[in-house]
Amino acid sequence: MPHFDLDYQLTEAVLDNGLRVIVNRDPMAPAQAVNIWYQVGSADERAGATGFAHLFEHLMFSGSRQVASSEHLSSIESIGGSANATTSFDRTNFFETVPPGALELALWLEAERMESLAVTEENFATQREVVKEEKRQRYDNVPYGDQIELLLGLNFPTGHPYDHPPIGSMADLDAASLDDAQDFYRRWYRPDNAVLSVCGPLPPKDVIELARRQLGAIEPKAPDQPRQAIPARPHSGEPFSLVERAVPSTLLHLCWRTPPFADPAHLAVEQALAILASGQASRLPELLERRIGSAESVGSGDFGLSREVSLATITARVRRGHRAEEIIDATLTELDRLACAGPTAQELARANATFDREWLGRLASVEARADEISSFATLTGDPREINSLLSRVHAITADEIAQATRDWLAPAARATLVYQAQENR
Amino acid sequence: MTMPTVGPRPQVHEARPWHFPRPQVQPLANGMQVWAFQLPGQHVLSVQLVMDIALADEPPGLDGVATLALRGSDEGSRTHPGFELARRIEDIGAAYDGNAGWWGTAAGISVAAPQARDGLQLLHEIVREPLYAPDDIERHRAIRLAEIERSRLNSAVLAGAAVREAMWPTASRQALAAGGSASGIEASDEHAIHEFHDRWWRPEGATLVLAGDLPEGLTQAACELFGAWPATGLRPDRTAPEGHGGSPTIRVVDRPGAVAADLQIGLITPGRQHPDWARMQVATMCLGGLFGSRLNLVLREQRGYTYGVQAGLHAGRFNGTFSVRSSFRTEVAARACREVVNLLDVAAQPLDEHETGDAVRYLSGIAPLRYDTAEAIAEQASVLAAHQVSPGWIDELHARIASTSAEQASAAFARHIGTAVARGGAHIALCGDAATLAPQLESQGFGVELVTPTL
Repeated sequence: MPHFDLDYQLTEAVLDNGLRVIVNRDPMAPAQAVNIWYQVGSADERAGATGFAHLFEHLMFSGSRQVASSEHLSSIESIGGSANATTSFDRTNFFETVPPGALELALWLEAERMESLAVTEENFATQREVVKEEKRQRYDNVPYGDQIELLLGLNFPTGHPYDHPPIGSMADLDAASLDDAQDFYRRWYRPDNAVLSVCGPLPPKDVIELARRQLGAIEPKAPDQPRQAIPARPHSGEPFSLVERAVPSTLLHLCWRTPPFADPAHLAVEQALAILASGQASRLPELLERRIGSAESVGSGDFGLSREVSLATITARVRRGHRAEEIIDATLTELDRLACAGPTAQELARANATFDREWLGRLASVEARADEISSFATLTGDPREINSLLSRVHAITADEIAQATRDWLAPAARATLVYQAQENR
Repeated sequence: MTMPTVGPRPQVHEARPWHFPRPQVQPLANGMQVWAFQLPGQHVLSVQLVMDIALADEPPGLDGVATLALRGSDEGSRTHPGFELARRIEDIGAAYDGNAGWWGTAAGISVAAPQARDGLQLLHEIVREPLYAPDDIERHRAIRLAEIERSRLNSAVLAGAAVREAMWPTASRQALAAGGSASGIEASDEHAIHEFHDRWWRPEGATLVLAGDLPEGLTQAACELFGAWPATGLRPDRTAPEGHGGSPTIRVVDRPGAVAADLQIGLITPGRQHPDWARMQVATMCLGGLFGSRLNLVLREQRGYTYGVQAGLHAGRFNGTFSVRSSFRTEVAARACREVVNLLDVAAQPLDEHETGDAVRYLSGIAPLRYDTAEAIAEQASVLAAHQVSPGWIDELHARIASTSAEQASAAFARHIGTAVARGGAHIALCGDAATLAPQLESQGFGVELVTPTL
């Protein structure tokens, strides 16, 4: 059993236009966090329009009927708040953290751009350049910048919703037009395709009333749209990809197609990955970094994708004088061992204790808590899972972790990406 | 076209006054202090031990030894040798981390409240009795050397290194990276690390920061545990490091074929004790700290030259450092450099009350939002402790910020930063494709010097 019985109180309302509003009252919190998840991400882009969901995220700061371009962020800053947005595969989120007396302003700014976004040709062209600069700075001009693109290309066939990263390609960004933006807006930025979470000291009744006043009459601009989701069975034939780049050390990714975020098996896969490579005392870091010394670092993770399939990776940075193959062999042996015997009681307790601290730390600020509430509401339907997550993780048995390893992390179901450092640079 | 339903802009209600949390301060007989921040509802505790260690304390040629002493400290203790220590830490779900900074080494543990006493015990053990086994040290040196190799391909790091080298005298510790250079790391073997730890990891001048929903008796337990750490008598006098004046020449680090150019500007300023400090903070926000700052609005939102440009003013123990950082596509980089320099010249275009009002409200309003977790409070407290500043300083700074006028902010910034930048008195570096950049910079009136910074 976890040491903590979490009990964040959640109050929920669905407005007449379909907008779901969830409020967590935290009387101790110094600020109100506002978080909107629109259920649209890079997985909703069509071929030839990659990067569009993210470009659109930028356009959402380019002005509306009563708000000038760049004014959204300036307004929030000038009252001592912060605001930003991020785009991922399955969603785009927009958030503000403000002093309690500015909650209505934050909701109004969200309402403005949900109802009457007004992007000019000039703003569109500027933000396209800004996004291209972002791509250069974060991906094209840094070592290992194309890893994520290679990983997705290896694990998902062309045409699959997850076949490309949210940043997209330069050619597609160049081809994007203002008309595309208007279509995208009508199609996805609807109240009934969004979840609004608000965390902070104000009473839920007041927050819901403010949300209704500011956002409750906005009409959907288009009917509900079907979403792309294509099941992907575990790999067969052990796909393998090797690229050589002018980087100082070789990186290795072992990858598996795993159950999607809301699947009951997802947490057991996460725990198997944690037993293998989360923390210094987990199996692979202890073995590869410390005993053998073949890896500089080893880690694991699941992307938490939600449409029929997700993706898990074990990633190692190969230490100079060693080879990727050594690490692959040792990792596969450990996977077999975990699949056969499961974790020891002590390993399981360690993984659970670490999970507790990480999850409690994640929920410590209202900003991150509001994001988790939006996440669960969107991806599993039930935001109360933020409270039950610890006990659900602790309920996973050693046998279930072994089973998840056999079912989802089998050596034969892996794909391998070796990102090889060129010799004699 | 449907009728708009969203009404006019709503009013904002005044924020409540806010104060940085005041810790219970307990001096110990061995020269340490304990700062205990009681933060109800913060179930993950942050415990940080900040020791009075300057990177300039590293013996010449052994730069990086302070970093290795920190990184190797949890690789086994006398009580829990080898893997046992990491297992003990993770058995209670804790995480150990730290930072060897310019004016203090912080070693900290993050732990859920019910395991706090065990966490404290482990932190004490890590600090007092690390083994620094040769294999573990060898591995940490290899990891740090690999990091340095990666920095050779990182334009932002290279531009930063070029500025650092210009700003501080050659052969001074400040001219090298905080984590040490490749040659310093090569030279820092386990003997050097042991020696450094034995001499410098000591209670005098150290502060133990406890933050979170502290279980009853924890602070007392911490005082007893760390109170038994014997003093060594070492309490060196610290003085302000002397920097170099700037140059109108741009230092260019060549990365042939790079698709973007990374800019960094650096300048040493008066420190947090100076009466102009709060005013410089306000002006820096207006110029490049906010999204709505002059630099960001012109270079990103109007020109589309960059994903973002940030100016910052950072306090050291004695001096401050002003910096501007950005990345531009190669073909516009020289023009962008010229615009940055022009935009920082506030004497030519003073800030108005609207701009400074926004910055003051931002700085005042964001503080309670930034310091809303145990971790954030402990981190800020650790910086203050490393600079030997009391925790009440944050409130004093905010009071000064709140009373800053546009005129004061413009004058302070022009006096210490803006005019120097405009007259070629700052340090500017650009890392990118030199063959393309150099002629463009010259056509913008900049001198160019090709440099290869030491990493």
